[in-house]
Amino acid sequence: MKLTRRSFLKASAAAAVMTAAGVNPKEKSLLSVAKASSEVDKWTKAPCRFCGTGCGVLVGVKDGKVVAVKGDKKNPVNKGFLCIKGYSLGKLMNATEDRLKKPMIRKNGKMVETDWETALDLVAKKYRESIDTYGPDSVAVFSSGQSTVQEGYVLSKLMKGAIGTNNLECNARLCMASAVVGYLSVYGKDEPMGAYADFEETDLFFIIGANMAECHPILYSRVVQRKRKGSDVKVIVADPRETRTNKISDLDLAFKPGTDTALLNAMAYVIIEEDLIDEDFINSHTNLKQDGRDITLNEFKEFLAEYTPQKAAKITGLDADDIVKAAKMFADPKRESLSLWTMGVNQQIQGVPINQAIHNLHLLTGKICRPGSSPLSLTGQPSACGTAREVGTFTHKLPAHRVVMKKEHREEMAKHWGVDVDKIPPKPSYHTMAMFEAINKGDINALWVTTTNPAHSLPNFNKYRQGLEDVFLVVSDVYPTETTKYADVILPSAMWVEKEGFFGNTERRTQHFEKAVDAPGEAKPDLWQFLEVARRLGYGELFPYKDHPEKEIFEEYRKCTLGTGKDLAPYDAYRHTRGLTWPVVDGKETTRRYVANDDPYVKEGIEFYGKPDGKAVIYAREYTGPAESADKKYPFILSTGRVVEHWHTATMTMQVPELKQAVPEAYVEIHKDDARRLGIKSGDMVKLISRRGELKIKAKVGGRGVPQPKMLFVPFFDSKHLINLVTKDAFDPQSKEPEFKICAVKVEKA
Amino acid sequence: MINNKKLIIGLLVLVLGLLVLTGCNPDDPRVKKALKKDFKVEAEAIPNEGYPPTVPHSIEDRQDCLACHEKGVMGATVTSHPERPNCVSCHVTE
Repeated sequence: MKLTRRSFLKASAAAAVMTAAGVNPKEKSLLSVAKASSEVDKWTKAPCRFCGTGCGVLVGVKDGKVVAVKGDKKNPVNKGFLCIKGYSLGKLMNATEDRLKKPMIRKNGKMVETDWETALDLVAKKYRESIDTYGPDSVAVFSSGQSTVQEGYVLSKLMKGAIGTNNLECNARLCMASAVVGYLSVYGKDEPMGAYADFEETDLFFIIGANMAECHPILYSRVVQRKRKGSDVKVIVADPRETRTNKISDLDLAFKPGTDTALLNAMAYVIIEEDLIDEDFINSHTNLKQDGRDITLNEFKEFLAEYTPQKAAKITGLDADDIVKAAKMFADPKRESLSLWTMGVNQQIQGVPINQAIHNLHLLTGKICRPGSSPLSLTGQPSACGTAREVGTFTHKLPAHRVVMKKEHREEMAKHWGVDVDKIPPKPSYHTMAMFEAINKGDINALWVTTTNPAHSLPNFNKYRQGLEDVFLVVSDVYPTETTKYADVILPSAMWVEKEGFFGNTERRTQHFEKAVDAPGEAKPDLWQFLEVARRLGYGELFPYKDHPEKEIFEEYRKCTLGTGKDLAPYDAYRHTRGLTWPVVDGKETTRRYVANDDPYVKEGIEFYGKPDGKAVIYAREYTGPAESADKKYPFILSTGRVVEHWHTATMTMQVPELKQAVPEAYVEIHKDDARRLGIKSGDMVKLISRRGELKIKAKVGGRGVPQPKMLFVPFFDSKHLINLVTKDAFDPQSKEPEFKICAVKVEKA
Repeated sequence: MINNKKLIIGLLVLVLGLLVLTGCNPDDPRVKKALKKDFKVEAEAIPNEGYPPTVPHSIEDRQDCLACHEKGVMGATVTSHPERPNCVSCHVTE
């Protein structure tokens, strides 16, 4: 005990030095760091638990506790730096007071503690009963972009290969499904071709629908560093709301919410009109399509005639000259251009067309597949790419980017799994919003929610509440959440380095983390929970893992990836590296895909091998606007998003005192002109009312974010102020991703 | 038994660290406050290496932290790393 006290004191002392040293490139305090390190039993490495950037974290363990975290200097993603959430990981790992520590089951309407046997037996019994009575499609799992690669793989095998249902979805549907359809439709394969290395090679950052300063701070710091060092590096920030990201921009494009397609089409118009296109690239590497038929470049030009800068200015509310300026900056043939976007683009009913319109700018100018030029979509969860997209925990997917609709893919996976091919249903069942509709209707009787919080994060939640109350609901999580309120069984989970796993980040980097400490109480890894229930359901022989399940499962999954273009390296390779970017072939990772000499799947030049003819597609997509527009009765457009201090539904970040204190509650940002007109001051309580629900919340005028006039913004992290009672559940017809970013509301003084 | 020598060295490292951090003298009330805070962290038994100091004033309407914190205008804490200007990605308000 005394020893521990002393080492704590030393670590505190070192903390002060590290604060300076950790961010000081001169590294003059390295000695102190070493001293602190000697007070730690062991250091392990892990990718950060929070967003999709995938920063490397070093975790110091002493006497079975996490006593120190620091940025991993050897990790190329963050080079030793972390944001406040990353620095908070150590505090989070010690915030065990509120942790779920014992399994619980509902008895006579109340949750009571129980043992694992009872809880797991109950889950298996309910699933078995439902499957036997109503068929495999009467049970479902809603998983997460925070699930590890192994967890996702076991869920896919259990649901699709063993039970025989495609009722496996994940929360990544709510955050980047539109980006997936963007890449898939344009290049025939999902996920970015570029890498973070492009940040240091580019001359122009085109940031649209992303508040990187708050949501991807470490990547934003790479933008800032590039701008500081590059002699002529420019930044365009296109966003209806002025954010901290705008601080470094050379050109702000504050377009009207939901008019992104018009802006991007107008930029394409200017690029063609000013002859800034790369015609050789277009001819050799692209096809052009409109409404499913091939078109010529001339026909594409005719399509764009509706999007002259003047016409687009009317739609977007921008200055036509600014649109021209942006297009010329992007297309300057002497410069490299990097597009970065995230939820602002993806969470719209035009999510897919906007994604495609961004890709168009790169394909028209040939600014793609070369250092510094790339369309790079940013992800919000640590394994949205590694698990949700690559393992494929969506209804239509199978491991390693396969899809259930393709016979050969089903056959390949049936062989890998050792199951009858007919077991895997050939049709996708429910995408996320349809799944919760089916639960409302009683078509799904049992739902297992793992590592996510739909009662907080689903749009228009009032509509889905009854379903969650009625369904047999199992929730695996680490803290109580909005969703555990509706649970019939709560399974306490191990978090981050309390278990072993893999995450895959935005730039195709697959990273391993080992178990560093024990989970508190009786909490257990989700992977163990899934395997225990699989055995109880009678599928034990499909999951024969013994000594080291995490390794055995990874090696099994790896076999499914070989030859698919997303080849992974053997398990051990990841233990000794700061991650590897796939495809990894013959031990060599790939920084940029689709380019010879880098991507082993390409022999010569550039080849978009996801498409049969190796050509990417330029899509002509019309601007159609959001699902709901402002009108007399509901005159404001409401948008939702994030703050740097909190992550998603804040079940973890609210446990860190500094983060909770910094932003204790949500608020609604309102433009000062609107506030003045309505007689609202900062701190006043107001009521936001939509056609679906209402919310009382504090107003905020000015500050870190300033929405344009007639626009409001509410961060969604706060469980005491659930903005998703107000938002709309309309979704993009292709990606099925809901339009969290736009709905019509009115504001009243409360 | 607590090793006094190591304790003193530890404290010294702490104070030196704060000096690096603040660039001003240890009698400064903010340094004293920070010292107190670190002991509180120790009492809570959750020390974490490199936890960025929190900001003791509102930052809502201040756009440029470096305007004061680069040179120490009006006694402001001087940053050791002015090359990383997105201060609020690590330093949150109290």
